[in-house]
Amino acid sequence: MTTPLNLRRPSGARAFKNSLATFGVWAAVAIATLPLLWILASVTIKGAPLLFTVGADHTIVCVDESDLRVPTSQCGTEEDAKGGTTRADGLRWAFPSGGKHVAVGEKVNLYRVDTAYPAADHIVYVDSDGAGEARFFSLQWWTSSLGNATSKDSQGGALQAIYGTLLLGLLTAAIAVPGGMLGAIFLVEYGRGTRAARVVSFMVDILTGVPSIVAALFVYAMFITTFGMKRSAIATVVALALLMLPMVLRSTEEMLKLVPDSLREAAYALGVPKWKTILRIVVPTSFNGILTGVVLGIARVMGETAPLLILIGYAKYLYLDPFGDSMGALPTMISDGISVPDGDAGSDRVWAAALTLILIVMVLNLLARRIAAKTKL
Amino acid sequence: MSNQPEIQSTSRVGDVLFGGAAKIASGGIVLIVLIIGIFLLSNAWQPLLDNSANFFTSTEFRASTKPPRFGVAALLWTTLLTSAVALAIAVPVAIGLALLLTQYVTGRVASAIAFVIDLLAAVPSVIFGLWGIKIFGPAIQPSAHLIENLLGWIPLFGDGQVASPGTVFTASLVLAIMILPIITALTRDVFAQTPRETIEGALALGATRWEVTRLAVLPYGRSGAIAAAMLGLGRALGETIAVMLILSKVARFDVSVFSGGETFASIIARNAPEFDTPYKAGVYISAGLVLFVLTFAVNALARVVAERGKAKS
Amino acid sequence: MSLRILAAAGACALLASACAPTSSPQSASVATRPAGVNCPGGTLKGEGASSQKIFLEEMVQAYTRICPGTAVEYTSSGSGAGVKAFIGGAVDWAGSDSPLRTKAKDGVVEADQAAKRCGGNPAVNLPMVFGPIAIAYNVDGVDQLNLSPSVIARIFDGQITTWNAPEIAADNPGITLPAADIGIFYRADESGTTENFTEYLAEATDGAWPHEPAKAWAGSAGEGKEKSAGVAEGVLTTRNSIAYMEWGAALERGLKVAAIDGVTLSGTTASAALEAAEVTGSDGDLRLKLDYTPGDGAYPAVMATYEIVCSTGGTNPDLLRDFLTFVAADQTQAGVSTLGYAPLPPALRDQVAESIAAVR
Repeated sequence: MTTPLNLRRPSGARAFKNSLATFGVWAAVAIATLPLLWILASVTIKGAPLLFTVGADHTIVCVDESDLRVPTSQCGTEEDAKGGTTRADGLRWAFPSGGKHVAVGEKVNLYRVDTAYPAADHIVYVDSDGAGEARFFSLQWWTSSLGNATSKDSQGGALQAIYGTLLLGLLTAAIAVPGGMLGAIFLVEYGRGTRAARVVSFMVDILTGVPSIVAALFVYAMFITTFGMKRSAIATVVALALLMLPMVLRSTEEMLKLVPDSLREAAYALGVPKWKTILRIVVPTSFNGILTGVVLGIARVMGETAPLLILIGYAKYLYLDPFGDSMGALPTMISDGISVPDGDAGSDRVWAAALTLILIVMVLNLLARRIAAKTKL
Repeated sequence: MSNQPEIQSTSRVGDVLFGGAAKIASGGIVLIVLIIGIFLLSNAWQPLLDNSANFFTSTEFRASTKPPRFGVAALLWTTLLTSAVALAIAVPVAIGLALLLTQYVTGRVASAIAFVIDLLAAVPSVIFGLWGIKIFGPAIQPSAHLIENLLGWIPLFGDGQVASPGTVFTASLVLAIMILPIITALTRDVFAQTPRETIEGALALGATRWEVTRLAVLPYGRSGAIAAAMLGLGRALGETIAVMLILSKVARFDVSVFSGGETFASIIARNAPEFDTPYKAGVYISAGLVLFVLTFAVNALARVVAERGKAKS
Repeated sequence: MSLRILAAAGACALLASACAPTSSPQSASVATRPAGVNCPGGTLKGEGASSQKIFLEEMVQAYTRICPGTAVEYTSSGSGAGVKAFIGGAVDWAGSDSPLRTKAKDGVVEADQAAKRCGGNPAVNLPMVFGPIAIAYNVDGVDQLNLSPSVIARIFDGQITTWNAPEIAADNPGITLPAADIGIFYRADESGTTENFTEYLAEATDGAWPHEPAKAWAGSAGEGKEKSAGVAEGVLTTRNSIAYMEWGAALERGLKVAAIDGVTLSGTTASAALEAAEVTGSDGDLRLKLDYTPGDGAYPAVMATYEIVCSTGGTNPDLLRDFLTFVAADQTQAGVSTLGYAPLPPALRDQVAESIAAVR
C-alpha cells in the first residue's frame, strides 16, 4: 500500500520549497526595481532644480586676511563691498561665484574669488549663519547654450546639447529607417525561406551584437584614418546608424510577419503587383508597430556615448551644421562635466543633463508604448 | 482581360526596382559586417606585425613605445571577469523575473512590472556610469570591504590595489543591472511559450507552482534562457562608457575582483583623444578587433543554442 | 508651456549668438581692456589638451566679457586630437602639451603637415600656459610635507610603500608621519601631464626613476583614474594617498600640496623655474627646453603647454591674434596663479607677445 496522494495540501517540504520559490521571484522584482528607483531619484533630486531655476552668480561673504569666513556684520555695509577695500584689520569682502554655500569659519576657496563688487543680476548676501544657496526661476537651461560659462558659473544652459542629441537621433533615423525597413521587407516578403535570407538574418544578429565602441572604431578606421576625413556629426551618425539599423530591421520584420497572408493573397488576387501590395497594404497595416520600433531605436541611439567620444568634439556653443567637427550632445555633456568637483555649478549641470536625457528617452519610450497600443494587429 | 499584360509589365518594373532595393539593402548589411572586420584588421595589421610583445599572452599595453608592446591578456581577463560576474548576478534575477511574469502574475501587475523593466532598459549607459561612480560605488564600498575581509584568502577576492570604489566588483554590479532587462525580456518570451497542456497537466496532478516551474517551464525554456544569457554577455563585453567611468586602471595586473583594470572597450574610449597617428590608432584598433571577434563568437553561439532549442521543442 | 519653450528654442536656433547669456557678471578686475586688444568679433575655435581647460575657460569668459558678441570655443579633447583637428583645418588653433614634432613618427611629421595647412607658412608653438605639476597628498595631521625628487620617484614607483619610511622622515624632520601604506593615484588616460612629470623625474633623479618618459604611465604601482579630475577626486576621498596632477585640479578641491626640496608651490616659485627655460625654436617659434633643476627658490616640476597657431595664412587670424594678445597681457597674467597656473616670466612674455603680433 502506498500512501494516497493528497491533492489539496502539499507536504511541508514541498510547500516550503514552493513558498521559497515565490519569495525568490518577488525578491527578483525588488532587485530589479531598486536600482531604477535609486537612479531616477538621485538624478531627479540633483538635476531637477537646474531645469527651471538658476543659482546666484555670486555670494558675498566677509573674510579676514587669511580668507577665513567671518560674520558679515564685521565688514560693514554693502557700499564697502562695492568699494572692494581691505580694511586696516585685514577684513574684506569676497565673492565666491556660483551661489555656493559657504559655511561660517570655512576657508573661502581662493580659487576664483573676485575682490571687486560684481555687477551681476543675482547676488546673494550670505548672512552670518551661512544660510544656504538661493535660486531664481529661469528657463535658461532650455533656451541658452553653455557658451563661455566656466564650471564655477551658474550661467549657461544645455540648448546646444539638447539640439545635438535631437539632431543626431533624427539624422540617424533618416539613414537607419529606410535601410532597416528594406532589409525587413526582403527577409519577409522577397526572401522568406531562402538561403540568402538566412545569411542576411544571421548577419543582422551579428550586427545587433556589435558593441557601439566597435562600430565607432570601424567608422574611425574607415573615414578618418583610411579616407583622411575629419571628425563630424555625420561620421557619428554613420556609426549610430549601424547600431540602429538592426533594431529597426528586427522590429519591422516581427511586424511584417504578423500581417496575415490572407491580406496579401487578397491583394494578389485583385491583380495588385507585389511591390504595391507591400507599400499600400502590408506596411500600412503594420505601420504602428514599425513606428514603435523606430521610436525605441531613436531613444536608444540618443543615449549612446562611445561613438560621440571618438567621432565628434564636444562643443559648448550651439552649432547647427551637421558637417562641422564639433557639436554638443547630452551624453558628452555628462562625460565632459563629470570631472567637475561636487558642489560647483558645473557638477549640478551634469545631473541636470542626465535628467534631461532620461526625460527625452522616457518620453520617447512612453510615446512608443502609446503607438504600440493603437496598433491594428 | 485586356488590362492583364499592362499590370504585369508595371508590376515587373516596380517589383524589380523595389525588390532590388530590398535586396541591395540586405546585401549591404552582409557587406557591412564583412567590411567592419576587414577595416579593423587592415588598420591593425602593421602594428600587429611590429608588436614586440606577444599579442595573446602579454599583459602590457603600450602604444607609444617603439616598437609598440601590447598584448590583450589583461584586457581579456578584465573584460571576461566583469562580464562573468555581471552574468552570474543578472541571470538568476532575470530568470526569477521571467518566471514571475509568466507563471505567477498576470494582467495589470504583470504589465506594471514589465513597464519597470522596460524603463530600466531605456536608461542610457552614461547615466549608469555617472550613478555608478558617484553614488552606487561609494554606497556599496562597505559591503565590498566586508566580502574582501571574509573571502580575501581566495585570490579572486584578494586585496586589490584599488582604494576607490572603481573596482571590477562595482563595475560588474552596474553591468548586471544594465543587462538584466535584455535577459529578462528574452527569457520571458521563451517561458511564455511553454505549452499550456504541460503546465495544466502538472497542476492537475497536484504539483505546486514551483514544481510546475521546475518540471515543465525550466526544462522547456532552458536553451532559450541560455541564449538570452549569451546575448546579455555580448552586451556586457562591449559596454563602454559605464565601465570607463567606473573602473580604475591598475599598474600591476591582478586577478581579484577588488582590483581594477581596463576592458577592451574602456581602453579604446579612454585613449581615443590621443590617437595622433593612424599607426597608434591601429594599436587600439587591434583591441577593437579582438572585441569584435569575441562578441561575434558569443552572439553566433547564442543563435546556435537558440536554434537548437527551437528545433528540439 | 511646452510651446513656449519650443518657440524660445527656435529663436535661439536662428540666432545662435543671441542665446549667449547676456547677464554675465561684470568683474572689475578684468573689465579694462588691455593694450592691443581690439575686439574684432566673430567665432574662434580651438581644440586640444585638457590641461589647459580650466585656464582657457576662464580666459574665454574674461575675453568675451570685454568683447561682447565674440564666441571662443575650446574643446578639451586631448593634445593629439587638437593637433589633428588643427592640421585638418577644423580649428583655428590647437592647445597641446608638447610642441609639434619635427621628426617623423609613424611616417608623420606634424610640423610639415601643419605648414601645409598654413598655406606653406610654418606653424609656431607659443608656450603660454604653464601648469605646475603638484604632488598632492591626503594625510591627516600632516599639513606640510617636503619630498626630494628621488623620494618622489621611489614613492611613485612603489619602492617606498609606507608613510613612515625613513627616506620620507629624513626629508621631514620633526613631523610625525603615520605608519600607513601609501596609496598612489595616476592618470589612466594618456596625458601630457604624465609625460612631463616622468620627464621631470627622469632628469632630476639620476636614475631613481627607471622608466622611459611617456604619455602613458609606466610606474609599477598604484591606481589609475580618469583625467586630472579623477586623480584629484581619488586623493580627496582616499586617506594616506598621493598623486601628481595639475596644480589647478589640486586647488579646486583644496588638496594639500607637497614641497619639492623645500620649495613650496606658488605662482612665483613656478614662474622662477620658467626663467631658467631655454627657447630652442626660431623665427617666432618658441618651443622650450625646460630646466628641471632650476636651483634655489624655484619649483622644478613645471609643465609648459603650447598654443599652436599658423604664423601666417591661418584661419581667422585677426580674432586669434586679438584673443592671444589678451591672454598674454600683463594684467591677465597677474591673475592666473589663483587658477593654478604659473604666470609667464617677463622676458618670455615679451617674446610671446612679439610672435603673437606677427600672426597674420
